[in-house]
Amino acid sequence: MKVPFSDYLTKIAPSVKKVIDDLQKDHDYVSALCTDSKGLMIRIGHRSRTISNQTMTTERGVVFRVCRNKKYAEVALNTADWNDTDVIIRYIRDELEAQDKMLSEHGVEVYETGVLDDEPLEFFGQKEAECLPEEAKLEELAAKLISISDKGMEMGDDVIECIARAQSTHISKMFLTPNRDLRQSYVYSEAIVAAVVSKDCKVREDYKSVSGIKGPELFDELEEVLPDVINGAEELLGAESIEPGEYDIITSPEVTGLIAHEAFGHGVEMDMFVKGRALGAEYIGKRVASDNVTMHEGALCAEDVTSYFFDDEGVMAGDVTEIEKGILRSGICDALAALRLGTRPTGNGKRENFSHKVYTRMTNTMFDSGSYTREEMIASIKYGYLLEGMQSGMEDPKHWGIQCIIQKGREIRDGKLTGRIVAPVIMTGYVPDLLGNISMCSNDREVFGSGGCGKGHKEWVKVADGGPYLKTRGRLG
Amino acid sequence: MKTDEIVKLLKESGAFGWRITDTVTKGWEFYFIRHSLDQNRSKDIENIQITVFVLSEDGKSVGSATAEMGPDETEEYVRLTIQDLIFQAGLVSDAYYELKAPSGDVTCEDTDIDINKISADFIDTMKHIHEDDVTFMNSYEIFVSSVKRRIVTSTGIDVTEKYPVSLLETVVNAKDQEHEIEFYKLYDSGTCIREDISADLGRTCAYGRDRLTATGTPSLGKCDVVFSSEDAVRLYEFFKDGLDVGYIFMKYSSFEKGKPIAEDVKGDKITLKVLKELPGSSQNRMTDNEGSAIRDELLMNDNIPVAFHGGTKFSYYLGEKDTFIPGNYEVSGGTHTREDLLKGTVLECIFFSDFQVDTMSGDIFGEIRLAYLHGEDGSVKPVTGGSISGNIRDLLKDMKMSADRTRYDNALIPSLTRLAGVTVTGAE
Repeated sequence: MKVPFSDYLTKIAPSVKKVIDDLQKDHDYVSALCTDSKGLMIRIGHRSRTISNQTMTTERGVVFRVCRNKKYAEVALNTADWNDTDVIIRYIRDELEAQDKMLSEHGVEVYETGVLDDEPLEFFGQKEAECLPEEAKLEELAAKLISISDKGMEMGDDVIECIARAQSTHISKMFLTPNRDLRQSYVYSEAIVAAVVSKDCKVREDYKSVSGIKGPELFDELEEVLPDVINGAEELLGAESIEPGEYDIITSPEVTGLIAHEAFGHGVEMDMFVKGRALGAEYIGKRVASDNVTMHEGALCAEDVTSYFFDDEGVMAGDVTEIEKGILRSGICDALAALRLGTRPTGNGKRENFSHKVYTRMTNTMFDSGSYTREEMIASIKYGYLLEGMQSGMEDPKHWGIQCIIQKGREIRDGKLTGRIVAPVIMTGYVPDLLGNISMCSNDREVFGSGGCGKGHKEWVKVADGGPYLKTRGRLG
Repeated sequence: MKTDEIVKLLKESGAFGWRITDTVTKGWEFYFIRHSLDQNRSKDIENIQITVFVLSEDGKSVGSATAEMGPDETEEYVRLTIQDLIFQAGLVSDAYYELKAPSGDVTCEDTDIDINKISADFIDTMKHIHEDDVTFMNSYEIFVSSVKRRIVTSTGIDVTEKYPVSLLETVVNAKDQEHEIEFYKLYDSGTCIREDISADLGRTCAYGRDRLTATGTPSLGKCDVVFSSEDAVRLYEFFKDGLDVGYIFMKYSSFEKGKPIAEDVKGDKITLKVLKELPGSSQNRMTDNEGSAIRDELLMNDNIPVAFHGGTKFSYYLGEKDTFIPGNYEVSGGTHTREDLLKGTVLECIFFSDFQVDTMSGDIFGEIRLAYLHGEDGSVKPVTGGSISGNIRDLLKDMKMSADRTRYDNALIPSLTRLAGVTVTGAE
């Protein structure tokens, strides 16, 4: 079925337009992003269970963006009575005036910016889903997750907890300006199974996830990953520490995605170019990786949790080729940064929610596939590691440093997995070295959308990333 | 709907128990590129969270379900939501526990919070940070909020608190003719503490200069490492989380009251106390997010747990009465001076890409952005790159702490912490 658009947003649209019309009288640009996203979250553990209508992206509210005298400002609210637009208009004007007065008293200079494009555009997009989170059969879903958790507890001697968590969000967003009316609705879902194991005072955890631009029907896929999770966690109890050094490595698609995200995800967010915070700005058209590397970013380049029709600034979704055969071609850009850089936005302007600022953010960040099989890649390594599972990552766009915390490494000796596991593994290094050494890519690829991404250490948004198995060299500790 | 009207609906619903948390946030935000205003923002947001608790027919289990909504929902919507929550709570039952009654004498003053003035203080502070041709503020973001939170429960808790919450994000750059580097700093606080921000950014600029001349971190194998910046807070969170009733009940933590957390300890021992008030903290509250009164309490004395902290459900399961979820804590200082702790070959870590301590496994890791390698001969050399790793469960056996302490938002901890035998992977 087509995912229905919010009745609430349809109802408030005329009032929001009235506010826009009024603000337009003395502003050069006015827009409103209106959101109404409902969700469902069930977390089942052996010892603790919860259910809620909150997910990372549930929200309801409106944010107005205005520009006057080359200065942009925003007012976000969810406390408004939409039957009385005069009160809303007065509130917005009072807030903007009070802030301007304080800024003026402190002699604050403005970073002058042109006026955003407001060419006429109308769009109404609905994605497909079999089921909505608000209509899910919760008894069946809870029973399914309880069964997974119970089975997990019985599958290993050292399992002290097995958690099955499922969440689904029905997104409705409306972007209005004097000339634009864009509306979209879709559902995305994600779920994980995590096992905690303990032995001899050692506590370890492993997990696997599923995600997609689907309704709660996605959760049927969850049970399949359970055996791998339990085995994976138990393997960690016997893991050894890695001898620090540089190794030939093969990254699993999940680790490949982490590298994509940290290396040329954050590294080419072009609001960072405006601030002079990204080395990538100086490398457009130059080699940053081996010939084997092609990378894409955009809401259109995969179907996962962040595959929307338009972004939070009313820019239609895109598919940007960031790296083509090792050459850096383009970054990704929100609308204001594009205006400041004299380029076009790529549909990557995202907010944590309506009450947060827009930044350039990632959507789907993916390495392209190659032509080898995973087995051929393992067979090509004399001594090294197959890296699996991601914990976290961090980038340094100014210096192209990268830190990836990886769940485990499987030892490879003479082209074969030996069964020896090392964990945890921290991979660090210089991005062009890591990507420059990519010599093989597998002929398949996977996308992962169960994680979140911060800008610095805040502004959390949904992202997806992935790719094939990659062979390169990396510094592990 | 107003909270009092929702209370009425909940009382009529027949639920075993319920809690409403109504949070109103009025905030101002200012974003700067260098010292030019990128944009200014204002927000006025209200979130109402309702949790309903349901008792099973046999009285042996309790389930809970939570819904969040805005202030503009109709009575019909709220009534239906409460019915849904009662049904949903029945699907996710846990072993029986009791909700907490009002605890302690909680008196909340209706503080006047002037977000205009606090914002102006931040702007003025940043304008007067010393900069030069080498080190400068690349960009910064100022967030100032006045938060009013009311918690009402079926057991008689009804507390309203108003408090300021501020955040300053800064990016400090340093450049010479060859290259340019940046350090990222995040300051959480209640209001603007001008002196602390200025002093810390001054130090960060000095670190920036050193980072420009830093060479690759050598491979040191197992080495003593000193933490002398905010990253040390992550280390102490391992101990705080280990005293959480949730961690203990789930067996993620093996801490037991009266039993030392480690044997054969050679270094300093940890004394950890949670605090209701810590001047400057963004976490100063009268009550926690379940409405329980917060107070000062000693949790660990010389490596021996003496009390636990945490929420209602797990406290009940462990038979812990009168617990709460603390915001602030302090760790007593050790026995050492700064000079003692930086003696011999030691890597003093200042900035990581993202230093992490897995509070469940105890694993620590971080890529080094700036560290000082102190030599046996008293030499000090700035280094960069490479990483450190280890496990705090092993490392705490030889942990030394300085007597003097530093506050980082809600944590007052020893200014320097030295761990022996940390694995240092070099960058060379």
